[in-house]
Amino acid sequence: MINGGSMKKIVLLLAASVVVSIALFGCAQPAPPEEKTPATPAEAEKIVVCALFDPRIPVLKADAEAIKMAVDEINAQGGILGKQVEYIHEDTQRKVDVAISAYRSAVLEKDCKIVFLEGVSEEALAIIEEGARIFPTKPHIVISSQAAVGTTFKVIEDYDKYKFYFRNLPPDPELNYKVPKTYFEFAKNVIGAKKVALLLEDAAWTECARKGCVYESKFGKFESKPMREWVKEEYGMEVVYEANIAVGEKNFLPMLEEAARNGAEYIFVLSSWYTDTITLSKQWASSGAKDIPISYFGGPNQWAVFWDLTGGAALGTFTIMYDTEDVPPVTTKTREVVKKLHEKKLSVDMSVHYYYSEMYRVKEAIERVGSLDIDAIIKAMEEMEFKDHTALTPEYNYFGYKSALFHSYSGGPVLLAQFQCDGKLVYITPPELLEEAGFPEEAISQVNPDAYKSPAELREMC
Amino acid sequence: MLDVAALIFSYTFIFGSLYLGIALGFTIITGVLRIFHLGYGAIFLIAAYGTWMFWKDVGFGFIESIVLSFALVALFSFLIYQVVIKKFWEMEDYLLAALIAVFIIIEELVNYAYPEIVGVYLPTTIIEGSISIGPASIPGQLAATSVIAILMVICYLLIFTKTKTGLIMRAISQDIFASQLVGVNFDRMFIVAMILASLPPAIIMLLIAPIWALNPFIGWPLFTYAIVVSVLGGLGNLRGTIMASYIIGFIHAAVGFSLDPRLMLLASLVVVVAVLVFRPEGLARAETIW
Repeated sequence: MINGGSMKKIVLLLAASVVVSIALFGCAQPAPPEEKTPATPAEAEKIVVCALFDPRIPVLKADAEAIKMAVDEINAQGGILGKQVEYIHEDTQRKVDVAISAYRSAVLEKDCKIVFLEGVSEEALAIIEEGARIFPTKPHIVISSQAAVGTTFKVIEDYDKYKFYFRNLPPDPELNYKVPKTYFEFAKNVIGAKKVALLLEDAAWTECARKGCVYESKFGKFESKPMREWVKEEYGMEVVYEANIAVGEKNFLPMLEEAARNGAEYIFVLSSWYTDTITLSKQWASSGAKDIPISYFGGPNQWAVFWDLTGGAALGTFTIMYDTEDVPPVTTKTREVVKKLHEKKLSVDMSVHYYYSEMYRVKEAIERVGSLDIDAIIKAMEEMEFKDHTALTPEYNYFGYKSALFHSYSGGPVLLAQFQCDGKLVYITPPELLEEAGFPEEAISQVNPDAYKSPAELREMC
Repeated sequence: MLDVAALIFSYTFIFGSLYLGIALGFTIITGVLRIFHLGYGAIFLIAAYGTWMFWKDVGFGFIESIVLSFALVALFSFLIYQVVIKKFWEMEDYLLAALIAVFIIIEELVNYAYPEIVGVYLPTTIIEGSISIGPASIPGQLAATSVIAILMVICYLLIFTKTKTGLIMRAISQDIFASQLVGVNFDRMFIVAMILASLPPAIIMLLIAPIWALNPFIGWPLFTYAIVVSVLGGLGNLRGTIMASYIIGFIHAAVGFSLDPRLMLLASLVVVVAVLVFRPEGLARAETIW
């Protein structure tokens, strides 16, 4: 037993430990020097870029590191307009209040001109409002990969208030329709599936896939039927089973067994980082559905290390993939970026390419404008065609001008790869899709849908 | 219809046994020590990542690494008792805060040392592929896990009913002060109970590794299952935990296969709350562990 005095000491000790821990680990930036020295001309003219990401989450850490890598490269090439770019990382802890605080500090105190924000919708929706308040006095640009379409309409409907906000991802109606079409093209033409099971993450960004959606804007209309309907109408595939996956779900066996019992010949999983595709793969590989081809959308499945994470249970699964050093090159920089990030022990999902590339888009926009006039830079970003994206062709990474995709990417074909023997990734997107999307010949020549093998075949072979 | 019934029946057994294995240690701690061990989830992490550490980083063989990780789990339980539980024994709020703080510290340490990107995987598969029982198909590994979970419960029941140590623990669980009066060294018994209770979650963690993702945050969902089952069963009562495990297993199987898998957890929580409204002490009285 301990007495009251000792108890107080323990509480004080714990409190002191917490304070010291926060001081040591909680602050991404070192404390400013006590005596401020006058800024040199170079410092005064630097362009500050802030990355608001929670580094505890591997994909967000990789996003932030990719931006930093782009900044370092740009500085090594002489900066932007002869000015050095300063990179500042702020930890959001994926909490709205912390993110808002970090964002205000970044723009108001650290004078960030460009703010990259992790793709958490709650944070983005709060920050777009906070940004609208501080933008008139502190002009800056925010770029985030959150998916909900709401921010797009804010920019469209009240342009002057929200024009600082861009999204390096297609809005959810595109994300729920145009991007998944690659999978169904493949399922129909290569796998030959006629019956399909849909496992859809139950989150705001999948509403169009689950329920269908119609959005009107003054620049156009988004309309998307529920996935079960357009899969049948456009691909002639019958949806024999459909289930929503709760965020954090660990028990996929009822879904998999039901998919098998209903005769599904292909399982499509509309997943993000909130669906545990590792557990799903492990359970699929030992369930009655193990012979049914299964594919994933977002999540750790976009990493090559997914193979290790599943202990090889990913054999036969296929997914969007941009994480191998032999990835079909969308641009000359694609493989180089993957290699450099791998050297830093980071995995490269699509979002990592997106953030890396956006830093270069910002550079190009500033250079076109020739100054740090934020309004002019925003206009340049809206109107320019950016060709240096490492994962997408210009049509699909274009931020859009006066269209329903205003300030967002558009959705289109993606690179799909299948995990084969020993985790080897084989790129299987039908080449005609990539051709239509404007992928370069070198990339198209490196995909081969005929290399696809059924899970049963692979288990036999490997 | 028969297909669905077979699936529900099979998976009631599978899920129920799994939840029983997950909650067994928590029930023992709650039953013997009469504390709500909020650090319980850390045991899953130490078992999984300890095995990986000894295997991949230290260089031991896989089996030796499992044995060493069990030793690490036992050491952790011993230290938790000596450093946290013993000190805050009579200050429940501090005790709960300290236990959950330990859990979070372990989680952060694991996330620092082995973030998901490391690709931690433990090849503990006993039965590969699936087993068909009539029209139902069950992952072999889960079937093995279920059988082992039941065997563990039998072993612990034998300990509690047939050994002197077990009888003393039951005596403590019934009335700690009376047992003190008859000379029970409850301090030593608590340490034994803590170590005994740490083994089932460690074993279950290794067994489900081939069918569940291993990541630094895996402790929370497993801990949640342990709490739900134990609360429904009547905290600290093994008989209640057994009943609750299979009831939750049945709800998950029935809702998952006949209604909507999205509603499995919700349905079980609704049932738990409904039961607690009418029986606040849970399904079985919690005055003794058995």
